Amino acid sequence: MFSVPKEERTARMEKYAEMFEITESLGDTISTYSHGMKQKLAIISALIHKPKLLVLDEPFVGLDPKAAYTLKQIMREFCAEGGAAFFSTHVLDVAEKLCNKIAIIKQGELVVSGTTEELTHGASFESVFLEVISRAE
Amino acid sequence: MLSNIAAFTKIHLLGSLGINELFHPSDEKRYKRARGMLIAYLLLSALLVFMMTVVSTAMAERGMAESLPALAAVIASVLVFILNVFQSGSTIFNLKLFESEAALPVTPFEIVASRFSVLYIINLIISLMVTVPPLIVCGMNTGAAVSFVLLSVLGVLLIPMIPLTVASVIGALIYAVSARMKQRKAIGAVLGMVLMLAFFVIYFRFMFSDGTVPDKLAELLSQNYDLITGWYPPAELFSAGLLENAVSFAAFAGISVALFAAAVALVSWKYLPICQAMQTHDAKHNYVMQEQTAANPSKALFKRDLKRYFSSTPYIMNTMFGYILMAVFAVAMLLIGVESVNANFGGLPFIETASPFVLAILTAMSSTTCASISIEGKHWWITQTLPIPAKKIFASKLKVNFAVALPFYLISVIILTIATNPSPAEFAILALLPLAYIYFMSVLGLYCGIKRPFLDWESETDAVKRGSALAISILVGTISVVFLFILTMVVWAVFDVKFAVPAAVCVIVFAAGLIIHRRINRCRLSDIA
Repeated sequence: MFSVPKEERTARMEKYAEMFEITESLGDTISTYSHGMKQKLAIISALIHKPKLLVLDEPFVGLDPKAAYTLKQIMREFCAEGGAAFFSTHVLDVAEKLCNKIAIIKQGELVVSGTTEELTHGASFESVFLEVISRAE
Repeated sequence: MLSNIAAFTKIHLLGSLGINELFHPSDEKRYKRARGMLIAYLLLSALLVFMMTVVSTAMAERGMAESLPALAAVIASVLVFILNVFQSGSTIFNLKLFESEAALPVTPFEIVASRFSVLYIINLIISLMVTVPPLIVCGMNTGAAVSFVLLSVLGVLLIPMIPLTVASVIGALIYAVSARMKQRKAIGAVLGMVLMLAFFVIYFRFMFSDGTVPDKLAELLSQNYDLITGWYPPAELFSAGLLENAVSFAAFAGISVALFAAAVALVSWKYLPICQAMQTHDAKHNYVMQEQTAANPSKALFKRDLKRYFSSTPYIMNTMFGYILMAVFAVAMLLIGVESVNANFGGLPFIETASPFVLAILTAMSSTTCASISIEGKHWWITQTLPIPAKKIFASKLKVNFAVALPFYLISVIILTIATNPSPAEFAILALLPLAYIYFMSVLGLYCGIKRPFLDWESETDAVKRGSALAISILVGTISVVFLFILTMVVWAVFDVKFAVPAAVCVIVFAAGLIIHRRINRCRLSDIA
């Protein structure tokens, strides 16, 4: 941990470890962790720095439903406080419910991007996604 | 069953010896590394064969041609034992391979048999280099019969079996004992180190048991033939089998094969539980939030690097042992008495002059820094992207070597001071020369590690032992010590000037260290890949 005073570090560790329910496991070696626990630890490690921007690759993979819900809450709070979370996901429902801006990538190429409302126009994001992808082929 | 064993053996050999990279390189860098390693192995092999030929010829000239088979068997066996007592455990219980192999429809016996086959084939190559020259010299000098040739061919195939079996069982036991313990890596390292130390204590006792230090290996072997072969009765059986009667050979062959087969069966029997125990981690789930600590980046890096060092058994085993030998050497000198050793050199203060160089050469074989970057492996990117100047990262790696070396250095110097009762000038050389080499080898090892990192390793043993950085730094270090020692002795003998060369060596080595250190501090982390 760099440049995070120990009092702030302790407070944030306590907060996020409690939220993700892994406080009791913090003394164990990471090699004993499950995939989900490693995921939680990586997210906590990122949040402890209190960054302005979070870049996350498939953050919900491996998380149990409660932890996934907690992460969504944390991301909403984070954005409400002025931060930005940029993440990739294959779960369209998560993207639709969580994001205010969405970009669709196909084979490394940006196919479409915009606010969620601009893309969906009230339709389900799943149908929009399938249509955009089929048009791009 | 045999086809499965053969297939596993082939796959493991192709992977572990770098043959795959040589014939099917995935990239130019890997190919160059594999080619470099092959050339290094070939050079070392040629050196070994040459040395064995010279020593065998010298012994034959002393009328000891008939002793050569037994001595060859002993030397090969000792070599095989030393090379395997620590490495065999990680080969037999290779957990990465175990995960993929255990999913296949094969028995533990087939897996274990293939692992032992791999060890056998590698050690057979080493054994052949040691045993073939003496056997040829023996055959040429004793007018060998056809039976000698035939039994020699069969015998050299059997020689590695007994030492390999004993080393593998001990290596497997070290793994098995430590597998159920949380600190198993540290325990494995300690057990291995104790074994290695026991070997060297016995070796020193043997070397100085009659109060003499033979100046030639042939003379040493000739004088101690009975003692050497007495330690290892199978060598006598092998020799008697070749030169006298086939019954002894049959007994040697029977013991070798039976022991090897028994070891495979024994390890197979407990293979799965041991592998499972090694894979099972104990998570306590009892952490209570504590107050966090804070340290400056240098201290935090040092603590991280020191933890990394002590978490790797092969890293410790391969780098700390030279330092331990420094202390063993000092204690040996104290116990044996410097006067009795010097008596063999016309009463001249040989040990007082040689001791700083002995400590220096052991230092040259021990630096932790050669592998300190390679050991980070796939996680190197984390260090690369730390918001810390490269200079501090390099400094922490140097500090780890100092932290490991300095306690042994201090103990050795203090004990040698008591043992040799040096003059002020001798004490200065004794204290400064090894210290200069510790610094020089630290920076040289790190520089080689920066220029030739080996980050895409499969096992920590590869990271510690296979990198060309290690070979280069050890070669430069040891050759320089040997050269400077010879120069010191020559100047002492010819000009009767004893301290000028060692004093100059201290200054030159330290200055060379400073130059390399400055070069290190100009290196960029992003270039190390």
